[in-house]
Amino acid sequence: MLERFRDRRAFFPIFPLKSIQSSIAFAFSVLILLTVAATSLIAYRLSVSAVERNSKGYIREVINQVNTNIQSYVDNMENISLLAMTNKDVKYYISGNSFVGNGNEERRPYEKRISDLFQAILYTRKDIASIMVFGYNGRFVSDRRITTLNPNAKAEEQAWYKDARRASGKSVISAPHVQNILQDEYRWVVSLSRELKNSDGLTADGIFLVDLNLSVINDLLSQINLGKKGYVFIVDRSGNIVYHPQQQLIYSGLRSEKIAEVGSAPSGTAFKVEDDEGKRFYSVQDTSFGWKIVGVAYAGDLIGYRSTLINFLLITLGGVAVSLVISVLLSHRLSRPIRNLQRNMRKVEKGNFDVQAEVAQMNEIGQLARTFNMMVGQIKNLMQEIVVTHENKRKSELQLLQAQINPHFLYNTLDSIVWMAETKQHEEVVLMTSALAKLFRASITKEQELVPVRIEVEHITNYLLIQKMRYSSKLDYRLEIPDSILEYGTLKILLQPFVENAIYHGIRNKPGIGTIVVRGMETGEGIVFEVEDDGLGMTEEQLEKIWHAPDGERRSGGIGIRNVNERIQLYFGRSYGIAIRSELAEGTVVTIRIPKTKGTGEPDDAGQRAEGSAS
Amino acid sequence: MRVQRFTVGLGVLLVVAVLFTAFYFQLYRVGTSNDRAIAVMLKSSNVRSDFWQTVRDGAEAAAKGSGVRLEIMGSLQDTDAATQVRLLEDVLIRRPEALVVAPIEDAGVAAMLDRIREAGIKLVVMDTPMQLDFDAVTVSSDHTEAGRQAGGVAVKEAADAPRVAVLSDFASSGVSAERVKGIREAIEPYGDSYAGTFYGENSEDKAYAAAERLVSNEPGVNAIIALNESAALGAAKALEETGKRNSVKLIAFDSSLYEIKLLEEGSLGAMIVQRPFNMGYLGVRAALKLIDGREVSRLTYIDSIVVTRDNMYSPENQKLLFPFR
Repeated sequence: MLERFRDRRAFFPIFPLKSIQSSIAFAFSVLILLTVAATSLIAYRLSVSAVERNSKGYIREVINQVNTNIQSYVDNMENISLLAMTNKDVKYYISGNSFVGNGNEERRPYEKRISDLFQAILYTRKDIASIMVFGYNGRFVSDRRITTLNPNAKAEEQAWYKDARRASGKSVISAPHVQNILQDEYRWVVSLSRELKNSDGLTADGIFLVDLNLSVINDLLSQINLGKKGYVFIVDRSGNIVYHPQQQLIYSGLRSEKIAEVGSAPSGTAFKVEDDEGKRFYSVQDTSFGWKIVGVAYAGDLIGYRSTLINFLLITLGGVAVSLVISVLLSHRLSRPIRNLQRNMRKVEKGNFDVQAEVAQMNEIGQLARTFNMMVGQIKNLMQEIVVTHENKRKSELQLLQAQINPHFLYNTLDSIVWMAETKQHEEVVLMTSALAKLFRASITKEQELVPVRIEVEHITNYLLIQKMRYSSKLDYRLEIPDSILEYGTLKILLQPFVENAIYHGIRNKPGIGTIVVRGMETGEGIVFEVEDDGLGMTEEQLEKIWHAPDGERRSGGIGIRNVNERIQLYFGRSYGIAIRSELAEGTVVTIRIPKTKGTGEPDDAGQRAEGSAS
Repeated sequence: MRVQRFTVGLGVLLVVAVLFTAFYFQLYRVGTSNDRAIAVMLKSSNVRSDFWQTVRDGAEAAAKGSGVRLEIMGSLQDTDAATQVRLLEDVLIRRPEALVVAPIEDAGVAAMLDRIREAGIKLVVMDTPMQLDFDAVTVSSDHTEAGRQAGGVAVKEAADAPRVAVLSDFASSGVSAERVKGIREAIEPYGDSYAGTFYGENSEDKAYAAAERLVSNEPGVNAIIALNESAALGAAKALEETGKRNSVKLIAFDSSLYEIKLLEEGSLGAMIVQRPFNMGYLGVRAALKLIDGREVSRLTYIDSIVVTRDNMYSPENQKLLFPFR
């Protein structure tokens, strides 16, 4: 029992709370919080990835638009260059083996026609800054009637010029740059240049140049809305920045851009970057002419991102709140029967054994309550029993006391002594008086209940001696007590009541002499005393009456057999007691069975043992 | 009793959790973001001033996405201290969270800045190292270093035998004084290399006159460093007319279209160019940090760049010389 209880205790520190309700509530709360946290985390992840997917799609869409727009500008420039290439006037004008003479008169009409053509194109296209042709023969024509070239800038040294020559016939797109070829004009443009081939397709005659106003692209890109912080940038094939809203910061190292990642990302894909700048998505799109257009959107900016977060937080918090309240209520409900039981137990503690716990349900707690009720009932019975037993014991002791100093016996004995004294029977007087004295000393002076058999034998001897002197004509007796049992313990004045009964009920009214034999025997289990008389004997009914005589009623001068029996059983247990055999006109044998008890000097010990075995 | 305490405890915990998340994720902001404003005071709000317009671009780039509104202002002339004082008074009334200012050197402006600081408005000073009664957070070009760069170019052009004259605007100008200091530091090791500083105020004519006088009085001078645009233009004209374009190298500060043309045609040997975009950007960034209570270094220097004819059309320098908008 104790071991198991200790084992249980080892689990308790997990919930270091004092009441079961708190422990249950705590356990529930932890469980609920974990569950809610896990599910909402998973749900949050799922929805965030959905939002991210949507955002990526959105950015891709925007970048596609940008791409289409820029592509259309470039296509347009390409078309203009094709127009120039196929134009006969241009061809003749810059041709190496010149159809057109160097004379002013001859050149003028060509220049005018070409200029007019270019001007007409320029009128229709506001995005084009300028159109020019540089012949390898040194001739030059532009969309303006009068063109002054910047004396400090040589066309041959310009990047667009050199690149076009290298590409030999293919069109080349430059990065945005300041076009300084025209005097006093420093415009930011994107140039498309192309080498113009001769009609034979092998030799080249000059370079054609179309400049696109950068402001067109700039306006396009700055109008794009990718959230508060999002932006678009462009890198070229070799990873140089073509356009970036914070190009200057990048040049001076105050900002970095994920150029390498962009360079390795295939067209149409997106990737995520998370650093101290914040979480953001890069969406990359290639153009046909080598630029990569990259859209950058910050996660925090994206529509839906924040609202998803808010929704999730609200739902999670709401769920947690509701479930916490439920857990408190549940634990309250679950622990209520236990608290009821506890309250009842307190009442029992205070001594109220009339408590009955209410058994609401037949669950574990119901069973506990039922067991508790049974236990309380049993305790109540036991207590009553103890009270009754005590009362009986007290009664039997009182009776014993009365038996010891039975007044009739005393008067009769004293009468006999007086009578003997009158008849001058001095010796008998002395003998009887001394026997009486011994009898009383033996019974009164000793406080112990348990005495050695020897003392009891002495006692009964004295008693029988007195009775023999009184009823000399009627009574004869024999004592058959072996020496071996003399030192065992026995109850005080155990035999006297039976001897008394035998004399008064068996022998006194019998004609002739009656004999009483008191025997002692040692058996395997204990000691057996027999009080045998050859008196009147009893009928079955009389015998029955002796056992069932109502409490307190007894034959005059005697003690109820039942009481003696009870006394023996109180001391030695239920397996001991009295048995009576009686035959009418034959006699009666009373058998008294007691255990072998040694410690005659320690009656308390014996008493305790007796009580222990009786319970 | 215990049950109630437990429930109350749980409730309190819950409320705390809600508040924490609300503030942590800034679901609820104290005030609306529109109330947060940073005033940016330029020396000149003239749209033709490329320098200050680029500063403005930088400031806007820094404010983008920060949820802070920029109020950009400035007098039309970069010498109009009275207007700047009036605008600063305005700032004091509107009480933005921070002021990023490029102050005009003037006692009235300094006094106003003092008052603005005392009013609890965070202050960041740009461009001009101002003599103030307190340590203001400053974002500025390192003018001394720029002077050293100019001096270094002069030394190189003169093949280690420089004799440098400086054409400045006013003796009182702090920026100019710092540049001169840097120049002298750079040429000091080369013996009798400093021919003096001359003043042409903000006038091309006066600078022209001063330069003309200089080349005739000091024939040994082989480099003139012009500290502002008018000085550069005046000196270029004087050197052209006296035929000393090739013998005397002209080095100028800052850039303008006229200076760029001079650089292209070779009249100007080099230009020391600031990075105005970075100044505006870092100025506003510093102000944002001050508002958030983060640590800000008291002095942020922005480097300058030496632009010559050879590298003026490099992608990086193009951006500096030809601000695009």
